[in-house]
Amino acid sequence: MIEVRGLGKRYGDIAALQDVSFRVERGEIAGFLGPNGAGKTTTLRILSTYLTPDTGTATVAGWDAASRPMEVRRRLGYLPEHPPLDLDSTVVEYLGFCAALRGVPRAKRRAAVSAVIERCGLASVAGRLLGNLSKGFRQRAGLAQALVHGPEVIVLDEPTVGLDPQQILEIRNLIRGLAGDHTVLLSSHILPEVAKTCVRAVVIHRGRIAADVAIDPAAGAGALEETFLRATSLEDGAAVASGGAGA
Amino acid sequence: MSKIAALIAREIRAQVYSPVAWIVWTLFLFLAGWMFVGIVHQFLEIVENTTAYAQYMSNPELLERVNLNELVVSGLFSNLLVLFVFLIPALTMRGFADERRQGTDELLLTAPVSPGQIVAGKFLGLVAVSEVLVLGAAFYVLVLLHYGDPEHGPIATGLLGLAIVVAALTALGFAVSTFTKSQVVAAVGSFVLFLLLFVVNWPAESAQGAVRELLLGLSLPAHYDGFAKGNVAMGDVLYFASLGALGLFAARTTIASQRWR
Repeated sequence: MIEVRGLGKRYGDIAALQDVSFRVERGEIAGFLGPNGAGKTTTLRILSTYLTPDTGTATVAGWDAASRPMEVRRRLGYLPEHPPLDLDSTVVEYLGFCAALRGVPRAKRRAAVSAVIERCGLASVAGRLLGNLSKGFRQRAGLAQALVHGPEVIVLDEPTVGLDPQQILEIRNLIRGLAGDHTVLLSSHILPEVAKTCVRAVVIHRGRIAADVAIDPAAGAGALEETFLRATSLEDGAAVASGGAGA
Repeated sequence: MSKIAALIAREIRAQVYSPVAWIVWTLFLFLAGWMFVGIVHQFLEIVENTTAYAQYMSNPELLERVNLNELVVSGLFSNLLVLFVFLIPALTMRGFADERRQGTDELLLTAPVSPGQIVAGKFLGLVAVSEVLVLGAAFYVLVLLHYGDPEHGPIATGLLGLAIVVAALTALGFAVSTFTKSQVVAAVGSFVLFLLLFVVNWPAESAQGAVRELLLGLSLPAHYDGFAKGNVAMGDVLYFASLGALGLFAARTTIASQRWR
């Protein structure tokens, strides 16, 4: 569903990504882990077609993100690092616009918007201006925007950043509920977050894949933490072989 | 098509919810009204003087040379052109610069819409807001029609010309706003560009040959003159169409190139 092969991207002299490859299978929720500045956002931006890679390919829902961006965009829900909200719109107006922009037919738009408002817990603020909402509600509106058109593939850049523990729990449940119908890739630098939501974790460090492991729910966050710390403390070029982080 | 409609609606909503559009409309009505009153007073003075002179010379035909269209309508419209130079940048500065600053460009550029559709939607929304200025100008024309008897032809072409100028400047201002993240830079940039279109012919007097023709040909007020006088020339229409097309093309190119950085 998501396949990344040999991805490379430079910003001037800085190599943001080097030979990044990983796969996320249909219906799977995968975590994309890495310290700040490791290349998570750049990778997700390439998957979302916002940027193009210098080398390698990113395939989303069977289409190449660089050469067939429109096909990818039709099938993709994307929450960028900063939720792209129209701060002077109400929640309903904004989501209605997003649905229209993603090609939800007029007749189905109202239902799609109400459903996603319900799902993301935005009912109490549906008529309020986004600019007047708290960070938690804004984050949920950003998530709602990524879901409103029922995309096959969902890419979320740090979906729980800035939320309180209660909100994190709610968003986590929401994301887990997406498994099966949707393929989800979410980035985070919070380990327990990934351990509790995802079935697999891809660790990126200094623009390279440092580990790609299955998560054993029984083992909890501790085992993943060990893998993460080992992977991110290795010298460039070395990588942890695939294996059970919980083993 | 419904995607473009959604973009138009969003643009109009953003403009009307922000105070900028209301401030610009209000300032325009105030300044245009001020100019209108001044021009009408000037006209009355000329009528008075000419009446006295015509009586003195016993030649009533002199009065017929005092023309409401030429002196008031055409004078007012030419002055409004100058107001556009100052006010339209304030309407177009949000354009794409604010999308960039708020990060909403990431929403537009990862949605299944082409750069051309984004430009079409945003431009048409902006034009709807800036053409309100021409409606304001039409109000003063209605006052004239109520109290005087100007010719209708030049009024119609004059207003049409104003609408065309507004659309062309809006396209150029929008293009400038795609080059930057900062609304201030966008506003100052379009202001300078518009002003340049007004003064580009100034060195023409001392230039020769093709350069002279080019400088004269680029002047915006020179191409509006015909509209104000009631004769619409193909060349003038083409000039404004080219300005608008250039703006939209530049905007589309910048937005499309965003992915390849």
